Amino acid sequence: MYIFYIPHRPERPHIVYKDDIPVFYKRTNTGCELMSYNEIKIEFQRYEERREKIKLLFIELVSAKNTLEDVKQIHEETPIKAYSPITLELNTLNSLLTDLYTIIGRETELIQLLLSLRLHITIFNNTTMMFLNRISHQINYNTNELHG
Amino acid sequence: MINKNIIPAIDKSIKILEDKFNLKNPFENTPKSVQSHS
Repeated sequence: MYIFYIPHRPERPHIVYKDDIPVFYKRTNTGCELMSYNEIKIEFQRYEERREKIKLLFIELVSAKNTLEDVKQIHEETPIKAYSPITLELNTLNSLLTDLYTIIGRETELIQLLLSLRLHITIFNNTTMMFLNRISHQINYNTNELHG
Repeated sequence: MINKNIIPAIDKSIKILEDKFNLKNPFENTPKSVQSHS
């Protein structure tokens, strides 16, 4: 007895030509069966949805890069140790990582990069938040000194 | 402070997405001053 596991391909549905006629098949317990019109339609809609999410991930990365380059430039132009008041958005990246895992999961390097990126962005945001908290304490302290 | 690995990691991720999923940077020909930030 042989047991096979054939995973879903993220690029589905797949078209094949049978006697020059384009058809779509699906795998079932008994072998391959022709897909109905509605099944084909649903698979194309899912494909489009996944594709849009990949585009969104791409735009998030480009946007984060632009922001970080601006911050880096300001740091380089400032003679003293500088902090940025900007934090980077992480919720979208987190949610896309979960939603897109079935598609990008095979790209091991990309997954590793995105996980490392998530860690670095968290550290960057936490450093900014610590800086902002320190300013806030200092402002409160100065105000109390003035009025106290 | 920005970790020195963060921008190269983003660059590599962008490159992989461009190559594997045939995507193009929508801001490539846009002047930097009008690009959006998150």
